[in-house]
Amino acid sequence: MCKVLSGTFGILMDNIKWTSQIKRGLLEMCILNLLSREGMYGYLIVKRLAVVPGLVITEGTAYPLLSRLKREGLLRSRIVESSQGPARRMYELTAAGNRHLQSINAAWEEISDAVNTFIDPNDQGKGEQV
Amino acid sequence: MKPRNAEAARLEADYMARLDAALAGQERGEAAEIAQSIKEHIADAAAEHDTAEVTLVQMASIFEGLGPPESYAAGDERGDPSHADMAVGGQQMPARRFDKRRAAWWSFACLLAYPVLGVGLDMVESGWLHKPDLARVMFVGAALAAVLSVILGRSALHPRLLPGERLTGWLRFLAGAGPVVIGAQFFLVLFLALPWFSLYLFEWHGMGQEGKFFGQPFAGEDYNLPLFGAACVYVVTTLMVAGFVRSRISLLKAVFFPLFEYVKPGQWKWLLIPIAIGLTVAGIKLAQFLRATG
Repeated sequence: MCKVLSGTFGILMDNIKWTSQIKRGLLEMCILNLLSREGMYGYLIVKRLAVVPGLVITEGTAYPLLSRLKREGLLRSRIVESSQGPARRMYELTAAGNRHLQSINAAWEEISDAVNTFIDPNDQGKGEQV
Repeated sequence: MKPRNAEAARLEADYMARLDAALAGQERGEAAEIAQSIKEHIADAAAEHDTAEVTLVQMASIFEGLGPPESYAAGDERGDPSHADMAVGGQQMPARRFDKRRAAWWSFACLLAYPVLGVGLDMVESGWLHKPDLARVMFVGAALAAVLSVILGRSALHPRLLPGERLTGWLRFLAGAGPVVIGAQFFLVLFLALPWFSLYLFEWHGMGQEGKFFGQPFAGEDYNLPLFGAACVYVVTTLMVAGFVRSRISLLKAVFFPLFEYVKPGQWKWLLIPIAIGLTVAGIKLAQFLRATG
């Protein structure tokens, strides 16, 4: 009984870890894509991400990520004064960020196509032929 | 900014204090930026409520959304799997158990164990442990501590707050041919071990003998002295370079790099133990030396 429980728990933990890592990688991609359209301040980015059911992120998670992307030169930020509240940090994509985004978007398309080949039972034959 | 009631203000102050403590291990500018972003987030989220002042329940719900401040300290280092599970969703995963006892602390423990072990062995009067050479015990112990430190530093379970890529090329080589965190651990061991080495060199060379220093006339021909000096210069210089590259701002932070990197807030006082032991033993030795040389 204990073995079964610990085995199930182990599988569950592995699953959580794997999902977390996938989401983490995708979170960066989502943020870069969000910012490719327009500059946004942190709170708005977090709100946009939080409403997407599949991502289910803790709001605070985004800030260290934004900070890291900025440190890597993919984003820049500037302080924008607001008449309705405190000054806010506006994040924008840099030229390097834009190039990086194009490359990861292309990679994502390629990877998701490849993975879908194996997930969709109708396309299984295609995967085997490859 | 929207006013908070007393309880909400206390909760916010507590959260921000925990956040500051959690970010203490990160680069100053980056920590300040994250803290500022969180403040902006709280202000924006509080403004969404249509009450005149922010209540405790509203504030708690904002923090629930943000997750525990400790999850920010997990960092966001690319490609470090030990952090991935901590950062997303603020989940407390088993890997965090090492967070409170980081690799360098095992080295500290080893270093602290040497004198105890040495004294213990010295008291054994018979058998194969009869009066061993304490200097050898020290060297073997330090080597074991260094190896242990590197093994723990390389472990996927061990949280890394320092991005290894900060040091490249010869700097990385100087800092221990690996990520700075491992290099710094190794040098931390040496840094703390050197005073002990020096103390046991005193013993080794019969410092207590009348008119002699390191067992020989004090004329600079003792080979240990330049070796010891060179090791000190090397270690301190490397630590300063590594620390300066890391902090980029503060020379003080650079000099005390291992202390800032390895001691979590509230734990710094534990450093006083090895320092106090070292100073006490050094004081006793100095008194003996002064008495011996008259």
